[in-house]
Amino acid sequence: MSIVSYLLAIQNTSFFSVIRESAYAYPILLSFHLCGIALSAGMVLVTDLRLMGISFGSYPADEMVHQLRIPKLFGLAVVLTCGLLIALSNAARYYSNPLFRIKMALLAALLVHAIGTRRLYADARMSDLRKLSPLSLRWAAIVSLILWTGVVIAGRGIGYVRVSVPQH
Amino acid sequence: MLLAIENPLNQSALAFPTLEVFHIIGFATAIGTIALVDLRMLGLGLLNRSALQLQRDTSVWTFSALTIAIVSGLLLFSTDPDMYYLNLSFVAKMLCLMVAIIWQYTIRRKAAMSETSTVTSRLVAILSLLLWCSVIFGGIFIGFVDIGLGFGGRG
Repeated sequence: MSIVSYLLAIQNTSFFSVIRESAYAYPILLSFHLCGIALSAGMVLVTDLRLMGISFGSYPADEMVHQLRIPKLFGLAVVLTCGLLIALSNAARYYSNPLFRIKMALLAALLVHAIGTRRLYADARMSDLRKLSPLSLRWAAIVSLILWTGVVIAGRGIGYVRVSVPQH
Repeated sequence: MLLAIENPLNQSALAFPTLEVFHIIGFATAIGTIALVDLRMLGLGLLNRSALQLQRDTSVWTFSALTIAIVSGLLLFSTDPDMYYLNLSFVAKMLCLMVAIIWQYTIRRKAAMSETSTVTSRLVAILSLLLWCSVIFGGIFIGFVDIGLGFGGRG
């Protein structure tokens, strides 16, 4: 069985067929997807601006990272849930879309980045974090913002690419 | 065609999606930083600062991002004004946006000043979040409602 026929089997289950064929499911899921993005974006941006030393200088960086973790994860959970439901309801089409693949690659890079910076936060001493951010954290923040911008660009581009969908 | 003026934004296939990316980054930043203060008013997030302090520290980012979203939005609107004008979801979005902006700079600004998290300030924060979410929903649904063009040949 090829990957495409496997994806077709997923999207043709009754659950995902209902989502695909409903007139309202997709726009509603997409709206929640973007609400989640907005919620997460605020927290990602504020944290990154602090780590870059551009703004929020009076906020201890470690405190910021720590206190925003739960709301940030909640926002990302909303984004991922809606994104997954949208993607799986039309799995074969998205899989064939080059911009969808780029978006997934960027998200994978962000996951690696998140795991990497977790160690960075742990390695950096609290006293260092309370003052100006170490150079490595500044770069981590810059990379984070570049990757997120790339995700938005690729995500918006998905709808503009026409792909022929294999039927089996 | 009523006017012989061509919008240069309609000359390039990349203009619209590029503006959309600016629009998304703009509103995500604006609503995200607004949500940060709303969450604080609900007792979540950056609890070591007051809501007022957070509001002051985020306001320049909120305002700049909102400006980017509105300017890019106006340019998007200019590519097909009569379609947007007749789109029910667009009209609803504009109403929600106006209420949300007025809410943001009047009632919520005042509510953020209260030191303690009262029932009122929590309600104000929840309404703020709901208003901005409704703006997003209105924006997405523009592409999914049928428009009632009174002229032209839409079957």
